[in-house]
Order: sequence, then structure tokens, then C-alpha cells
Amino acid sequence: MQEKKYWGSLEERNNDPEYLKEAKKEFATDPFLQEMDENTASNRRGFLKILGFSVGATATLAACQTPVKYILPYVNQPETTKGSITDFYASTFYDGTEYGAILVRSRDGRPIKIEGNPSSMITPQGTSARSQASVYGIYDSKRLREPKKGTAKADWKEIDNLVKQANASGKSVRVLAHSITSPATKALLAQWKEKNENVKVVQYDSLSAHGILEAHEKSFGKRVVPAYRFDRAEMIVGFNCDFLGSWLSPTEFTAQWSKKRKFTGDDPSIVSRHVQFESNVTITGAAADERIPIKPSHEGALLLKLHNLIASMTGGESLPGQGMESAGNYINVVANELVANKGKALVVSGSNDVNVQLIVNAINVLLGAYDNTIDIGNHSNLRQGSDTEAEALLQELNNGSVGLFILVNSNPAYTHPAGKAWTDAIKKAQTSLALVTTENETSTACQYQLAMSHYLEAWDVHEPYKGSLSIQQPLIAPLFNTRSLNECLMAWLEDTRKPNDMIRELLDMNESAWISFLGSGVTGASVKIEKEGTKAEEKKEETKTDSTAKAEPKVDAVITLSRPFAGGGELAKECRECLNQAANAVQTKAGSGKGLEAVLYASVALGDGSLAHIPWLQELPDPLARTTWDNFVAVPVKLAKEKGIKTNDVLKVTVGKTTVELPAFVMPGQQAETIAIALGYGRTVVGDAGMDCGKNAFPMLSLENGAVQYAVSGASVDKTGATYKLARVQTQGTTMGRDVIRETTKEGYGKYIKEYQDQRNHLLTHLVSLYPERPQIGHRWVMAIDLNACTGCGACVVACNAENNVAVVGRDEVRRGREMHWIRIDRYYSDTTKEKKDWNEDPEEYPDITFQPMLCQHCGDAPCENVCPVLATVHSSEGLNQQAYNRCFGTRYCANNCPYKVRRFNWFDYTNKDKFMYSPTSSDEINGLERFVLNPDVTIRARGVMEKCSFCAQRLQAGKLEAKKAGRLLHESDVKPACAQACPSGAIYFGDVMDDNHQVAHLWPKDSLVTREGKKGYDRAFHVIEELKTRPSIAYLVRVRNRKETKGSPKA
Amino acid sequence: MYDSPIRELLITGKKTYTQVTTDIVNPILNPPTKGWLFGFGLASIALALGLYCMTYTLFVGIGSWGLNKTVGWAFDITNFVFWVGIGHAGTLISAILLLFRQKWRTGVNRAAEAMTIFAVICAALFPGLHMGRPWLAYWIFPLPNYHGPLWINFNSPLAWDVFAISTYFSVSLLFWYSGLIPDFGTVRDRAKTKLVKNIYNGLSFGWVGSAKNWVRFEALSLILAGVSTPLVLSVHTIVSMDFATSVIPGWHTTIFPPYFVAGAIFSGFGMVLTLMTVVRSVMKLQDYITIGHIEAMCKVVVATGMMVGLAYGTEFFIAFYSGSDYEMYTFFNRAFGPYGWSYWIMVSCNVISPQLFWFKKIRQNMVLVFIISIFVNIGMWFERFVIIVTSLHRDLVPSSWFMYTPTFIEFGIFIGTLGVFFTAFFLFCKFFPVIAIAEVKSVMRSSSDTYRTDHIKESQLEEAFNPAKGYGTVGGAATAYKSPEEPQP
Repeated sequence: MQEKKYWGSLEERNNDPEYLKEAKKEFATDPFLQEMDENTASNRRGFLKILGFSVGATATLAACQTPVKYILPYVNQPETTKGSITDFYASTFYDGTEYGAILVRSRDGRPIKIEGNPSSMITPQGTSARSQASVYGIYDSKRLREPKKGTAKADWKEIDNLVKQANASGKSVRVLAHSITSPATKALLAQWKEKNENVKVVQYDSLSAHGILEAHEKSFGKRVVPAYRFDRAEMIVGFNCDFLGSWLSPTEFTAQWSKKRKFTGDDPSIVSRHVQFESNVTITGAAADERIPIKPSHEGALLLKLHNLIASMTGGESLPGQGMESAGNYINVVANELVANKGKALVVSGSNDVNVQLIVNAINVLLGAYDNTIDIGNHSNLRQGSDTEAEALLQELNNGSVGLFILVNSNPAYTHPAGKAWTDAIKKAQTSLALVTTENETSTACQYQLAMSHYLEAWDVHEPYKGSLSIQQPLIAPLFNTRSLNECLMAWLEDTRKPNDMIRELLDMNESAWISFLGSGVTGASVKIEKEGTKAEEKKEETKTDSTAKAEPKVDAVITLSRPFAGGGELAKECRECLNQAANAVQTKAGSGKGLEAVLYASVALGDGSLAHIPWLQELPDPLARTTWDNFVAVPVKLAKEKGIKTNDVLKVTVGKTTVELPAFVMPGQQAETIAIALGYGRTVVGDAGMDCGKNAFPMLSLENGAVQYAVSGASVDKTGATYKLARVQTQGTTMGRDVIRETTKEGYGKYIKEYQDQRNHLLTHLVSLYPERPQIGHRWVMAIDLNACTGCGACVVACNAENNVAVVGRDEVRRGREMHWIRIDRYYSDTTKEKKDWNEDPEEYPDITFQPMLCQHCGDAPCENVCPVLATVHSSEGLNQQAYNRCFGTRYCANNCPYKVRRFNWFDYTNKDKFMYSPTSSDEINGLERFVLNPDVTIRARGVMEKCSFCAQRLQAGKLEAKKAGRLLHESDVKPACAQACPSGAIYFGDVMDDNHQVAHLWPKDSLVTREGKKGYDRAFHVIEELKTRPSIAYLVRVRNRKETKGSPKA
Repeated sequence: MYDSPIRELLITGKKTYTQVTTDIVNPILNPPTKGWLFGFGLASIALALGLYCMTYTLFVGIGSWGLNKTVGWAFDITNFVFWVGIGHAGTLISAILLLFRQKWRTGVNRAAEAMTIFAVICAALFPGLHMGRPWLAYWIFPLPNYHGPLWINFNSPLAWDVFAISTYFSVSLLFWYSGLIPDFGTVRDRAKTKLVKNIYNGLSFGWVGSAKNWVRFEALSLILAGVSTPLVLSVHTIVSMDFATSVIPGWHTTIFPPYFVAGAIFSGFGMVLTLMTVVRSVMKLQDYITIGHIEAMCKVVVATGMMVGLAYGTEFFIAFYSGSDYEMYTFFNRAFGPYGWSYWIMVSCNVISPQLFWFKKIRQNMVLVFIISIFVNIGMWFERFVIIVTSLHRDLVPSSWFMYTPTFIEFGIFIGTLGVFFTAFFLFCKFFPVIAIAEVKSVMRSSSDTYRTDHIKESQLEEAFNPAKGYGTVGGAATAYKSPEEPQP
């Protein structure tokens, strides 16, 4: 102890009162602040408050009132913006195959992530995998960066002049585009037609709905695709119709379908009934209650039988012919059920055959679907293409009578059955322009390739359904010398307005309506937004909590689908005749349907292949085969046995005149006399990631009565003797009798739950944990996943990739079992007819299929945590199992000891562009553009460290801060991990189990975590491998199939 | 020493003390033989391949191995446990047999201890090498740092491993080296050039062979033997906990500690047999490493082999008896799954092949002993492979089941460790006394009448008919009458 005292100054020595006042302060007072203190009675904290408020206010006010005219990326960041603050802007994804109202997250002026727009009534929750991935396209370094003539650089003026000359000389102008949903584009095209009557726009859809359009024209006199309303149907029967995966508008249909599939109470009676007749295995079939394998050629005759059965029961008029029986006489069962659900039933068919669709229409009329579940009044605009018009255009081009051909973001040389004929035909046009974002098989045949802006760089407005508008806002100024279609058209029409002004004038919106439209992104939003800034979620949550203050949260409270319903019509008079013809035609077709038939389907990941250059999608496993990077021939089990075909055997597949060699995948559930091949693979002019991925199956499509047919008879397969190793992420299909997934039937629900609970109680009392119980203070993050609603679509996987900068490792690494996905969707074939303990590795021929999203379970007592020698993985006070990348030196013991195998190791340096050229995490100096898609909130992991799901810790943190700033309790909607946000069926619930206002707290098993002891648990919830006492933070809800028998569906 | 008419001679060939010294020290001082050069060259090639593969791994990453999301350990930890296991025989022979006064150990203990050291070095390569970021390997040590409370996780068996292996290595090294000290003195005394003399003098810490030296030497030997005895049991017990403390079916087993120790002794003796059968014939040490030695070790192999077999059986029974579906399937899968072949290699090599040692004729046939010892080595390598890979590749959640295929690099590293081991062993054979000279002399029959008469006669004859030989009868006899405790010139 020092006895002497040293003074700093004389004032100190004298205990000067002035000095003492200052001495208590931590920092010396800045003269400026001191002045402020004195003059404004403010202090440092006050200053910060004011600063915070003014920044916030400026941001809010700026967003509210200043119409955004130009959006430029910052070169020098203005002082008023904060680089680390995330902004959301509403926009629209529509690529000709599917639609989604989206919110785009922007950081530092660049869009980095797509989220679902909960304001939309059409796609109220989630996105699809493809719309999630579409943001990558803007940073695709192989994008077309400027207009090109051949390979040389071209000038926009030169092109404008070309078009103007063509206009002036009255040449025939043909525009080929996918369905145009934009009223703005339509208006501009109409203007152009006024100027030059030789302009004709041909809409051509790569995934055609020609059959539905024509059938509705014949049946009701309206050539439209109606709005299907699965949310209003109690009984859904699908015929080869993958409405949850790829048909028309999967994101929308999934949301609608899931509304009546998931339930949070103890009563499973809400679960609708869904029967799926199909040839190939789709996620829709897997999600259905019954899945009945049929041959595609029999589809019409089966429907005819169904029609006649329903007609005889409802007193309707029968059609000529007997039709056909399905396996196990199931058509009769379905007919009875449909009639019992009259007015609440919906029959859909994915067929592109007009005759089949005519019969479907007739059935739906008999069932009263057009007044309840199908809406022609507010019809869909998502498919307007005509196969016959496309065919006619091809003829016209071949004749050489087209003066100016303009291709708009379409690719018939790849997607049309005529294929290469298009490139030859286009060359015969006098002038040909292709407006495309990336070069494709067709555009390279055109004289000029015009660089098209990515949809996140351009203004547009969409009308996906009649009367519903959806804005497409740009998030960033075009990165390159590109133009949107609207900009091109305006330039050619010498319209000098700004594109956004043009849209606003067209929509005739006043300032406040426009601002509100931009804010919510859609018209007729389910939630009114007062201010722009599109914190739509939060706003909605507030209204929700106000109205349902005390009540237990219900699923329906989150989504308020108040979408209008206009209804439909009566069958047109002259339709009887065409129906009779259709009945005859389908009978004939069924009669001729012998031998092997090929089904060519759009895969969930790639759709029509237009996004084949996006590595996230290439590495997204096929939901059923769990393969990546390639397509394959799905071979039915029976055929495989007969011919000795094994998965990975290369088969020579001949369909019509087309022969390809593709590896086989023995697909349980595939109808015994069919094979199936995914479309969208085998692109030849595409960005690097899409090259050499599978084979193109589009040439196998056939044209029948002018409509493209996606099922073709007369297929043959032969073994070549070669093998090709498919990059599979899951090699074992059955559960091996383990309770990894749990499912029951609606009928047996009560009994099953009781048995399960008894079993569980026994388990909980008899198995002890070595770990001490820890008290829980504060948040405890948990997740509940409804297996009844999970369709396996993979949107969560891509969302997670984008959110967490997950590396894409490429085909070879996937083959070695090293994919990096933090969330995966396990597909299990359940052997319902076998004894439980049977270790049967081979599924049955037609098994039930269940999906289970599997991600880090954030175990309360995590096996990974105690084995790490350096404490690189530790538990947070909020129940998160955290991985400290910096501390990890990669012993991989944690991964070995993880019962769920969800930990992912950085086997290589995934930032190495030479080796991992497709990964957005990798970069080189020249083509580093892709790295701009990375989320700056999340570290890129180094070589040799372990990584895994973090429950989107960065989002949790942001949500907590948001609530803290607002001075309120944290709402459930503040913290949504990327997977939960992206889930189109809302199957993922996330929140704080300690807070009874969070829905997930009511979906939690009894006595599962110490924190919930004594609370009433949810009996339907279960943990995977609970007997290990890992106490996971993820609960799954038992899948309930709406069927009577516990055994599987009737088999063919 | 008491001359038992029943006990077999521990050293045959009617050696004099001088001859013992000459036999063992001469190869050290003479230029290497062709056989040695060939063996050393071969080992060096293996070492070079190993170095290449290790460097490749360090530069490119663990991705160069065949591991995947499901199988996070395979060749690396298999090799690690394999080498640690081999490292058990040396200490067992030198420590436990010393305490049990098993005099026969003297002929083989030096080489066995050396083997232990080299095997542990090989083993120690893997924990470092298999890390994702090996340059941070020092984090495993509880070093003081400036990160506040950031330390190692004492709950992790990997941390225990580090302590167990490093303790074992230090004690074994000390034991081995301290045993070498008097022999280095002998080599020094025989060395002809000043340089060699100085080197060995340094190595012997200036050993003079005084009574004080010997007393301290004996005391140290006993203390170290006492210290290392529990280590023989603890090391592999702790290594087994790398698996036993996990939750993976097939790993999470309480039988592991004794099972692993028995397996380690089994594999250690297997490797000692392999080396001794070769060394005794190549280096002409049949008189020191006698058939009796080999037979004794064969018997240990039979005993431990049956313990291991019992463990295999117990595992299966417990899996069945537990009623746990996961356990049952894991063991079913071991024997009949896609890696079933490795299980049956293990069983036939470890349980069936040692049973041949029940026959004396086989125990005495060096070729057969060598072959069976190789089987034991193979079997024990596969035992670790079976435990690690077949448990991991089909664990709890079937969706993640995945096959593991090793790569060239992994084979290269394994061959590389063989290279490390044999290179070191060849160097040891060349430059260090392979047989513990001092200890061997203590078990020679030097005092009985028969020996004396036999020996002197022979020596005299030798001198009579071979006067050119460098050392005479008198010298030999004189040496023979000296107390074995005293240093030999």
C-alpha cells in the first residue's frame, strides 16, 4: 500500500469542487459536447439517442415519401446509411414456370436473399427452391453483359434502329416469349401492334398448359387456366399432377394444400383427403394419403370411368364408353368419396392432352368444383402459351417469311420437342434478336443477343391472377449494359418515360396507393401497410397479437387468405359433342397403351432448365432419388428385377426417335410399365455449373393434336454394361424399422398417440441422463416441424445455402458424401406391410414415402459438445449448440458422435476457385462476381473446420435487437430462420419455448426440456432418437395420413 | 546362477561374456551388411511415400482422404489405435515381466521397447495429421493463453488421449534409454575411432560401470518399471474411451477398456514376434532370441487372442441381450453388412489363426510363426477398422448411411508409417545394441559346474585349434568368472 499520495494537479490537491465533479466522469469532456451539455441539457447518451432517432427517422421518412427514381450501388457510402442494416424490398419472381411474391433482402445496396412475401394472398408463405436460387443469377459471371452481334460487341442504338426500320417497312415481326403476366408489357406490345399490324406475339410455355387452356376454351368458352383453390377443397384427387412440385404454381398450391394438411390440435379431422394417381413418383404423390400407380396412357380412361361413376351417382349425364378400372378398384372408392364431398372436391390432372382435360372439367362440373374450388373468374395468367401457335411460328420461320424475330427469355431450341429445328428456322429470319439474361441454345442462333436485365434490376408489374397485381421492383441498378423487355419496348416505341413512371401511369395509382403498393408488393395485401419499408411481417404480427391476445395461436392466425373467389361457369352447350369425342379418344389411347411408357417431368430443382446454371439448384438433391447434378432414368422396381438393372447402370433409353444414355435409378413407387426422366438437364449453352449435367429429355416429348405430351408410349431401355455413379446424398431408403419418423392414419390417430405416449413415458422414467438439469433463464429456441405439411420441395435447403453461405462442392464431392447442406430432407420409404423390426434395406415396389427435414437438433445435452477437445462447440444460454469456427481445429469427433449426422466438415478450402468453381464461396480475381451473393452476416468457413446449422444465429440476434430497440417483448415473427421463412407450406415453426405467446411452445412434447416441465405437452410431437437423451431442440409432429387402413395403398 | 537341470537355457550357443559383447557390439561398429542396406532402403522408400502423402494432406486438406459426412474417422484413427496397440508389448515385456522376474525377457526386451517407442511415434503422427487444421494442433495442450478462460475440454476423451499417450511415450522412452546406458558404455569401450567413442560416451552419459552406477541403474529400472506398469493398462483404456464415451452403437460399450488392453497386448506381441523372427535370423541372434523366447511369446499370443475372441463374443451377446435395436443391427451389420468381409478377416486372423500355437511344432517353426504373427498384425489392424468404420457408416439415422472407400493418399500414409517404423527400427538395429548386453549376461549360466567344465573345455579347444582368434581362453575364462554385475571390458 502506498502511503504517499500523488496529485495530478493543484485542483486535486485542494479538493476543488469543479475538479471533483469532473473526476467522477469516465471520459474527459469534449468542449463541443460540454457546450452541448450546457446549452441543450443533453449528454452523450442523449446525443446518441438523437443520432439513432434521426438515422432511423431519415431512413423511414426517406423510404416513405421519396419515390425512388434511381437506385445506384454506392461507390462512396453516404453517411446516412448504415452498411450493416438490412433492408427488404418487395418484388416478384416469375420465370415463365412459376410465380412468387417475394421480399428481397438488400445489404449495402445489393440484393442477397429472397424471402417469401407474407403480404401476398397468392403465395402467402415461403418461396420455391427456384425463386430462392434466382438471386444468384444477378451475380452470374457468365451473364450476358452487353448486346452482342454474333460474338462481337453491339450497340443498343444499332438494335433500336434495326427494330425501327423493321417497323417502318412493315415487316412481319414475331415475338416469342413465355407467358406474359405483365400488364405493362402487354400494354406496350399492344401499342406496338397499333403502330405495326404485322407484329405478332407468340406465347410459348416450356412447361405447357395448352391442354387446360384449350379444354377450358371448349368447355367454358374461356381460354384460361383457372385458379385452383386447394385451400377450399376437402377432397383432392390428382392425376399425374405434381401441383406441389412443378405444376403451374407450386409455391401457391403448397400453401393452399398445407392449410388443410397441418394441424396443431389433438383432432386430426381437419386433415383433408388427397388421393394421387400417378406414374412417376412426385413429391405430390409422396404427400398424398393414397398413391395409386397408373400408366399415363390409362389416365384418360380412368378419368372417364370416374366421370361416369360420379355421373351415375349425381344424376349427371354419362359419357360413352366404360373407361378403365384402376388398381384395387380404387376409382370406385374415390368416386364415392368425391361425391360425398361434393362442393368441396377438386380433381386435377397434369395432362397436356385436351381430351383428358375436357373430362376433368366435366368431372369438376359434376362435383360443383367450379363454384367452390376452381375459380375461372379470377383466372390464372401464369400459363397462356399455345403449343399450336409455337408450332405455327416454327413453320413461319422455316418459310422465311419472318422479317424480324425477337426471342424474349425463352429457349425453344432446348425446350421444344422440335429442338434443333428452331435454330435452323431462326437463321431463316431476316433479322433475329434474342433478349436473354444468359446465352442459351436458341439465343446463340440469333444474329443479335441483347443483354437482358435480371429481374431484380428492372421495373415491372405482374398480374399472376386476374385482379391481383404484384410489383417487380429493382433492387440495384443494372450491373451491366442491359435492358429489360419493357425498356426495350419503350425504346422501340420512343417512349421516354421512366419504366416505373410508365407502370404507375398504367396502373393509375395515386401517390399513397403507389407507395403502399411498393411497400406490400401486392395489391389486396392481406395486411395493410401504412408505411413503406416493407417490414410487412412485423406489421402483421402486431395486428395478429392484438386480435388474438389471449387465445392460443393458431396456424390460421398467421396466414389470412382472404383471396377473392369469383366462381366459374356451366359447361358450354356444344361441349357435349367434344366431350363424347374426348371419351372415345381416351378409350382408344388406353387401348393402345401397351408396353413401356416414358414420363418426362419437370424436376423440383430445375423445372424447365432455365436456371440450370445456378449451382445451388444443381446441388439441390432430387427429393425422391436424392441425386444431384444429373438426371437419370427412374426405373420401376419390377422392371429392374426383370432386366437386372441396378442403380447407376447406364441405360440406353429410346423414346420415339430420341435415344439417350442415362444412368438408371431404381425408383420404388414408379409404375411397373413406365420409366421417367427429368427435364431441364443436358443444357449445352449455359453457364458453367449447368454444363455436362445429365441429358436433355425435351426431344423425347411428342406433339399430339398440336399439344406437347409429357408422357410418351413406345419407350425401351437396354443395359449398356457401363455404369455411371450418380451423386447421391442418401443411399439408404428405409427406416430399418427405427422410429426416426412416426406416422399414423387419421383413423388410428388416437390409438397411435396413446401407444406412443405410453412408450415415451416408459422411456422417460426408465432411462436416466448423466447430465445435471440446468435451470433455463431467458430464451430457449426450439423448432417444430410438421411432417404432415413437409412436401420435400427443398426450398429450405436453398434458402439455407443462400443465408448461410454454404459451399457448393460439386458432383464428385457429393459422390464422396461431402455435400455441405446444413439442412437436408431425408426421404424414407416406409414399409407398412412389413414387421417393424425387419431390417429390410430394400423398399417395396410401391412404398409410402415420407420426408423429414433434418438439421442440427441443438440438443440440450449434445453428444458433440463433450467430445470436442478444444471446446469449439459449446452450448449457449439460449439452448443453441454453437460452433466456434475459429476455435475448431477439425478432429471431426463431434461429427462422428452426432446421432443425426448433421455436422458438415470443410474437407477442402471451398474458397478455392480452381477446385470449386461453382461455389459462391470461391472466388478468383476475374470472376469474383458470384461472391456478391454472400451474406455478410455469416462467416465463410475455413478449410478444416466443422460447420452446421446455427438456427440462423445472425437472424436471432437481429430479431432480438429489433425487439430491444422497439422496447417490447420478442415476437415469434422477429426470429425466423431462413428455412422456416422459405417453407411454402409453413411446416416449420420456430420460436422461444419459454414464451407461451410463441406457437411453437404449444407444439412441444411434454417433459422434453427441463424448462417445460409441468407444462401440458403436445402429444403429437416427438423427438428423433429420444432414447439417447440428447434432448433435442427440434420436435417433429407425427404424420397423419387420411386413410383407413394402416397398410399401404392398393398396388398396381 | 543356479543351474537347473529342467529349465531350458535362456542363452544358447555356449557363449562367453566376451562373445556376447562381441556378437552385439561388432555389428554396430562394423559397416552395414547388404541385408541391412536392402531393408533400410525399402523402409526409406516407404517413408518417402508416406512423407509425400502426408505433405499432400497438409497442403490440400483432409478431403484428399476418403472420409465423408458419415464416416469422419477411418484409416487415420485405425492406424492410430493400431500403432498404439503395437506399442504395448515393449513396456509389458520390460516392465511387467521385470516385476514378475521373468528372466527370459532379457533377450527381447530391448528390441521390444524400441518397437514401442517407434510405434508410439507412428501413432502420434495421426492425431496431428487427421486434424482439419494441424497447424493449430498445440491447442490440444492446456497451455496458458491470453484468451481468458479458453482452455481445453477436460471432458473430451481426445484430451485424455493426449495425456495418456504423451505420458506413456515419455516413460517408455526413459525406460528404454536408461536401459541402454550401460550398453552404450560397452560400445564406447569397444569403439575404435575417437568420434564414435565420443558419441557413445555422450549417449552413455559417461557411464563408468562403478558399483554406484549400477546401484542407481538398478533402482531406476525398478522405479520406471513400477511407473510404466499401470501405464500399460491405462493407455489403451483411455484410447478405448475415444469410442466408449460416444453415443454411437458399436462404440458405446463398457467392455472396451479391458478388451482394448487385451487386444493391444495381443497386437504388440504379434508385432514383436514378426520382428524377432526376422531379426534373430537376419542378425544371427538365434542364441539370444531362442526358440524358447518365441514359444513364450506364442503362448502370450494364444492367451490374449482368446481374450480378444471372448470380447468379440461378449459384444455380440450384449448386443442381443440389450434389446436395443441399434446395437443389434450394428453387430449384425458388422458381420453381415457391406463391410462383413473385414469382420471375418478380423475373426479369422485374431481368433482362429493363433489357435495353431497350441501345437508345439508350429510354435517352433519360425516360418509358420512369422506367417501367423503377420496374420495377427493384419487381424488387429482390421479390428480397429471394423470398430471404427462399420460402426460409423451405418449409425443411428439410416438416411445418412454411407460407404467409405480409402484413397491412395490414405494407403500412402499407412505405408508411410510402416516406413517410419521400419526405418527407425533399422537404424536402431544398426546403431544401438539390439540385445540388452548387461541384462543378458545376468541370465547366462556362468556358475554351475557343468557349464564351467563344458565351457572351458571348448574354449581351450578353440584356442588350441584356432590361435588366430583374437581373444584367448584365459581372457574368456577370466571374464566368465567375474561377477555379472561388473562391467565388461
